[in-house]
Amino acid sequence: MIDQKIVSYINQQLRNGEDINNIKKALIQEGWTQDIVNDSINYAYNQNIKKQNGGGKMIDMKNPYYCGFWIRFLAAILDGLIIGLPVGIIGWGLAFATGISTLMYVAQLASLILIVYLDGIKGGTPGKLILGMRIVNEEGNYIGIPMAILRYIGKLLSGVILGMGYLMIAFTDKKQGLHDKIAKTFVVKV
Amino acid sequence: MVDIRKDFANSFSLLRLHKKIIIPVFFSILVPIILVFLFLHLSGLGPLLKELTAVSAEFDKQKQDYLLNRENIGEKNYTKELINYLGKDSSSSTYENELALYLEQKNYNWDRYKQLLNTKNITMLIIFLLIGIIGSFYFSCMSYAIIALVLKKKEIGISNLIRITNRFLLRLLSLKVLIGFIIIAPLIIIIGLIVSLFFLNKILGILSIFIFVILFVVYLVLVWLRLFFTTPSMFIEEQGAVKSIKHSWHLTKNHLKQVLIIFFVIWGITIFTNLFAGQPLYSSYQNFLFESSWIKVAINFILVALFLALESFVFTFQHLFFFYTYMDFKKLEGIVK
Repeated sequence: MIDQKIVSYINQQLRNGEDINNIKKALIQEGWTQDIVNDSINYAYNQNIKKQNGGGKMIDMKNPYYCGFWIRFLAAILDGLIIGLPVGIIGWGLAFATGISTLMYVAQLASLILIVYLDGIKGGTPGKLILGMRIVNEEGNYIGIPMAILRYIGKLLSGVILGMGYLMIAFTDKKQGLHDKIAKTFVVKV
Repeated sequence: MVDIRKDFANSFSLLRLHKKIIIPVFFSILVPIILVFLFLHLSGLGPLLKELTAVSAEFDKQKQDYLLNRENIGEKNYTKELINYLGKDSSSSTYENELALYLEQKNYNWDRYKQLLNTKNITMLIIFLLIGIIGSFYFSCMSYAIIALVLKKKEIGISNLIRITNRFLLRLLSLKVLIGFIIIAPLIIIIGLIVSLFFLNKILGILSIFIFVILFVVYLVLVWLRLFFTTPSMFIEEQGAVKSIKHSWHLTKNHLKQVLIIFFVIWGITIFTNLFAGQPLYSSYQNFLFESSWIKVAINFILVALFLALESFVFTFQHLFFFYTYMDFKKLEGIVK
């Protein structure tokens, strides 16, 4: 049996960085029954895992089809057209129309937020989604916001080393670029 | 193996939980910003630079109007002018020279800058520089202290934080001086050797430059990696500069590859910060200082606040991640306190 009051309390304590065993002990000491405590902990814990994994969207990773270099290159071109080009036009347009050149950076920041959100929560940017690809972790879940940021940082590094990090996609077993290796992510076909 | 993914996610969660740990980093960035603002206005340099920016903008507008006018397209000099304008930041462009000529035609009075070079302004500059360096250093030390307190699940009240920061201030300074010495001492020896060899034989001197530069770079990389964890070691283990250096040296002994990976990710976060927060903050602040229209000043002020908050957040995150990887790294050697 789940008690919503306990679930909220557990969530609060987990957010405070408290250990799950300590939370359990405290609740039992307060007089709650073992069954209610266990069920509520399982419920809260699963909820948190689902949240971290971008809502718990699962991709079967038993026999995945890893997407190679060229299809991902095509997805990148599509992303350039769908996100890069409009953001560039809006950014330049805003800067040119208002005479405030720094507004370009706002558009740049907005595109970053969008990319991180889509990669982390929706499983990929529009280019990848259109071509039926998803970015997932080892368990097949969407990677969530923190890992999407780490992956983006990995992309910057992949670019800095003369694009070698991107070329790695073509030569690794699981078609992982440097950014995928860093964030332990995979791009698979759905 | 250090789990970078886990450390990254943990740093993210912890920062979301304890947002106030960004405050010291925020102040370490804010102090120089305020000092620059004060200096420009108190010294009288601000209005002059504002005027110069306005004249430069006027010149730029003229160039843009020429290039955007359809009637000019196809003219003899159009392509040359366009390339010159688009590459105005490069050394090959004549844009700067043309601007200088434009200013001369406008009878721009450069002597006013010379008048500002007086004892009062120089003294003020030195004082502000000192306050800036000391203030930024103090708040940097405080940011490490607050992260150490959070990671050790200790109380982060203001009095406790100030007490710990004061305790670590000299230690951190000596650590920076020692690391600087470890890097600079061999460089001085190498320069001495090269100069001596150059006097003996010119070819030998030139050859030695190549060899010693390569050797120094290798030395620098190795030392940098071995001393990578000195700062977190100092704050987490609460030890002095020499002990932190020894600790980091010992800790990284057999795990240089791991340190390199961590360094690489932290470098990535630095690129990320510069790209999305540092550069925008610098540009917005410059525009805020020198724009003449109040609407533009107001918008740039908002942007400065936005990018300042973002930079503080990312820098704090970087420190947090650095400390987390250190804690994780210690487990490799089984040195967990």
